[in-house]
Amino acid sequence: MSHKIIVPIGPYHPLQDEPEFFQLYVEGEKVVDIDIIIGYNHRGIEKLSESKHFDQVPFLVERICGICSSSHPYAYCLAVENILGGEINIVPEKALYIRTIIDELQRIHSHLLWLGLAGHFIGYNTVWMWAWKYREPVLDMFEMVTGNRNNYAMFKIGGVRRDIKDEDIPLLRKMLDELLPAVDLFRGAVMDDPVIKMRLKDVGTLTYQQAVDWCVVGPTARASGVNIDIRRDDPYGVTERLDWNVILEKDGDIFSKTIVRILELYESISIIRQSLDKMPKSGVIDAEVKDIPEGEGIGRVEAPRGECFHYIKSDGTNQPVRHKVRSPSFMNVASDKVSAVGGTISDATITLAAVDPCYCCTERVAVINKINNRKVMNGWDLVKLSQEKTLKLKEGYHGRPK
Amino acid sequence: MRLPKVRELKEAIKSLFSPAYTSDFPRKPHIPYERFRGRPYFHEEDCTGCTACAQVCPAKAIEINDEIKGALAKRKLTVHWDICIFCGQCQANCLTAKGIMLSREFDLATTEKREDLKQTIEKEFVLCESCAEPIVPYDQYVWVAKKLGPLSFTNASLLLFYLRSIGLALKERIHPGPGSKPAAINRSTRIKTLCPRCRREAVLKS
Repeated sequence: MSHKIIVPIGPYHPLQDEPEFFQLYVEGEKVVDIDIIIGYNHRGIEKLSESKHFDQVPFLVERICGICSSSHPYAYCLAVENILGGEINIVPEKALYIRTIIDELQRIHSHLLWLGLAGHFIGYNTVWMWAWKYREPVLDMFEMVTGNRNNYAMFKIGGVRRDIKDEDIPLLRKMLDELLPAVDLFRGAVMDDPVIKMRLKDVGTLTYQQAVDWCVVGPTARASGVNIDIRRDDPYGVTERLDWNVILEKDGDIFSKTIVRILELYESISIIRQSLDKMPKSGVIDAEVKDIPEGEGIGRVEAPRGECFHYIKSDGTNQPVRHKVRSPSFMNVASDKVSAVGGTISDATITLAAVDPCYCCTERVAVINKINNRKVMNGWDLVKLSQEKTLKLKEGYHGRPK
Repeated sequence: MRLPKVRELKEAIKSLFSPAYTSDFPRKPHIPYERFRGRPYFHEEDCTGCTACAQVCPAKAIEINDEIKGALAKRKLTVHWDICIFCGQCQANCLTAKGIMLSREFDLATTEKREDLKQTIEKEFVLCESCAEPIVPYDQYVWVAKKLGPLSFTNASLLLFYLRSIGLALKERIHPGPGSKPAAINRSTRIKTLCPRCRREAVLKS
């Protein structure tokens, strides 16, 4: 009988945004089971939100996640506007366009960030550098329009707080024009590169049935062929008036997840361009909502990682009585239970990262086996393990061309 | 395999012969965009001390302390930059729109303690001329009186401030001092700066 070794990853680890705890049960190199323990990052956001005014909550919820910092306030505003009678009936025309533009810009920067990190984990540090280089102009645009690179403070019940001015539009267009060749480059670099194909194809596969069973959302689900996208299924903003497609892939492996995210960049660029064309030149951007009546409402937004859901219950005062948030990573992270099992430890890094939990916390990894001999690996060691595998594949490819 | 790599080679050569993409920050100062939301500052001459900024602040970064010491009552407004989230709500809701403004300063680094990352301004209170209770900061009264203009003649307290602001009434403010008994209420009390409670009494009893 082979002895089973447990590899704990986390609770604080460079691969994860929120402190989550993964225990990999390995036999030799193969992962045979995985335990996912979450809840280390309980910040009491929902309770905090119930002690703030309706107008103050967007600033709180946009800090749930530093990367989807427009999805959460957007979903919250949609939930409150649901009580008031629907986004489309309340929010002024121009504000709808501004909301859509900000939401899609955020998707671009989030997908580029993921692409860079995925490249880093499999040892393509050039992709990392380039993806983050081209992400920089997007963040600059955010700084120019909203006043900050992250935490935009744009969303408000019944409108937006800041206008996209006429002089911003040519700069936004120029940024998108310059971004397009870069996206072409990334698409080519990922699709044509045989080593990336070998490294990512059939790794961390999540089949259609598994994706449905584990209720995954967003690009993770679309890579497995599940045809869901909140922007189309429950339209918000102006996305239903624009011409764009939902990107679908069939295989469900990490290669498909990468392709879905890269192709979504094109769709986001196209949505922003159309919005800039159709956006009214002038007009109010805020409906100046004064009172929130009694009632309950839900808001759903397609965040870069999937469906972001907010529920609000109001009793007619100026504070929410109940605020419930379900972020997409909560659904997606659970699917590691099926996608990471069967792979190797060196694949676990990229498999756990492929659902795009937003990475921020850094600590250590300890490899512990049953006989209590302990070897402490830091996060970098694990990334290195993954990079070495790519290197081996690369050498194998160049050494023995098929 | 070889041909597509040319495209990436082009990018690599372009990167190789172009200067570093990152900014040369410590040597060259970084200039943020026009609308960048940085460290907020109170502007003492425009701030009226109305505390609207503290009410709307989502992070509760603005602290209000009313200090009553002897004949001097002061309102201390403190913005804590270590708690501030730079959302700009204080500026958006400011009574004068210039009392607290976000600057373009992004560098909050300090060698001092984190508690020292703050700015405090003081606003003097108007005291009730009858019972010496603080009513409202002096600047806010002047601001309201100026904004209402001739309409402020409907209110005796505002009328006095309006006349003072255009130089038609005595500048000095008279208050009885701490611990002194409230002055007897008579007909002339009605033309005084009074707190709401004394105003009611004056109207009822005179």
